[in-house]
Amino acid sequence: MKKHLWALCYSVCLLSFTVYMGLDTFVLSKSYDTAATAEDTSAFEEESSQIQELSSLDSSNKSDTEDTADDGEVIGTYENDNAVITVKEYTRNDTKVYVADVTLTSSQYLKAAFANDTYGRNVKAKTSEIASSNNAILAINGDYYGAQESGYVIRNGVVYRDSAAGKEVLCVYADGSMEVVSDSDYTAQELVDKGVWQAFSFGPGLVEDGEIAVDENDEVGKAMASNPRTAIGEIEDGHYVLVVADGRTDESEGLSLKELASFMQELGCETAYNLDGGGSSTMYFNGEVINNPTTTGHISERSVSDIVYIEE
Amino acid sequence: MILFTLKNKNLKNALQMFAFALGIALFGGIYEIFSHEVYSYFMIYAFLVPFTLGGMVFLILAAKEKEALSKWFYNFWNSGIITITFGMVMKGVLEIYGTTNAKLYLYFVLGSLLLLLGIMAALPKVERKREDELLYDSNR
Repeated sequence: MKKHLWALCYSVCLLSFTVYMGLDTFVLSKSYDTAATAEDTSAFEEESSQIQELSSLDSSNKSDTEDTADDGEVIGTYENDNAVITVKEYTRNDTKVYVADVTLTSSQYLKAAFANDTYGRNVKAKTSEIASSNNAILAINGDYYGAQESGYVIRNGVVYRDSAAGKEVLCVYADGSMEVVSDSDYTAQELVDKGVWQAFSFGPGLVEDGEIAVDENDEVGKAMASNPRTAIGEIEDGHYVLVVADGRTDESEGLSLKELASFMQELGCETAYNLDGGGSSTMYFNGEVINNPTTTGHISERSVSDIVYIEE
Repeated sequence: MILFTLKNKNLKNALQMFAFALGIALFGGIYEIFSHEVYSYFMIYAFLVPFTLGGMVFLILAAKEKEALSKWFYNFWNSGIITITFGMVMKGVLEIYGTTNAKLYLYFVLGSLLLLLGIMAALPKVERKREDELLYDSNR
């Protein structure tokens, strides 16, 4: 016994630390802001003239995806004073892809929300739950910022995390445009000062200036295969597509990043960006989840940190 | 001619480390099967730590040293290898999940420190052996 005392004690310590690491990474919640519902709309006041221009784009934008990818089946529509939404289902590469074509009078109505209205780590809820509590008509999962310790988090004009991760960041500006920038080129505050309303840190950028920005070797987290995916793209200022592809099932294989980028280009996107995929990929529309999210091999919705949504 | 017996502590350790490396390789392989083709090189190559720093080093020692080194050498060296291997596997798990943890570096710092302590624990005996050999040569 005495002979193996060191091995025994050290093994217990190492295993304890490993269990703690697992809990710290995946389970223990850390809330940094428990009322993270603030909005800073000052950028919209500066951009008011531009926003008025957007409101006249509705009808022309609505037809853009119909011109470029016209084989989708319409599964729902919605319209209010600020938004026109058409949700379609496509089949590409043996994969079911759900596309919400959204035209807004202002990008102010493209909102983001945190699980439990709390900014923190391991603070999670299902996309449908977050959407429901925020009165969303349409929602997709966001960038799962809570799984990372760095990478800009700017939501509704407010900076929540300003540590760069050396990543491509998707910026949604108050003037309705989208741009993929490197977080090493700007601080988070500089982005807000430039008029950024939402910034997502996942990536990579799929389409930039209308051209596919990934190749077959570019993958997220070394995922070199077809998987469920979530993406967001801009066709014109104020005219967006929110895309979710099912995967990991017999009915729907999933898309590689290159395939997803090609599809976003096919939809007519000038800019498109990959959000958190895999088990997180969820689209919520009109009170229900319309895709088939997969979690550990089963069709069920996974909890995430945040969503992108359009309010009812 | 070198004859190995399981009484040789270094050989025994080498075999244990090769078995550990095999276990880690199997764990990594099974984990990758269920990771939806999300790969992590840390997970895939974690087995190389016990294989090289453990199995191969002990095999060389078994060939060169008939006698066991200080017990603290084995305690520190083995603990260092296991710590770094755990760090590699944990890094692989986090990468495959797509997350990070700032405390992960502790595995590698502690593991390296233990390996260093292991070398320091082995040095007196190696030095003494070298001195004995020099004395033997000069007396001849």
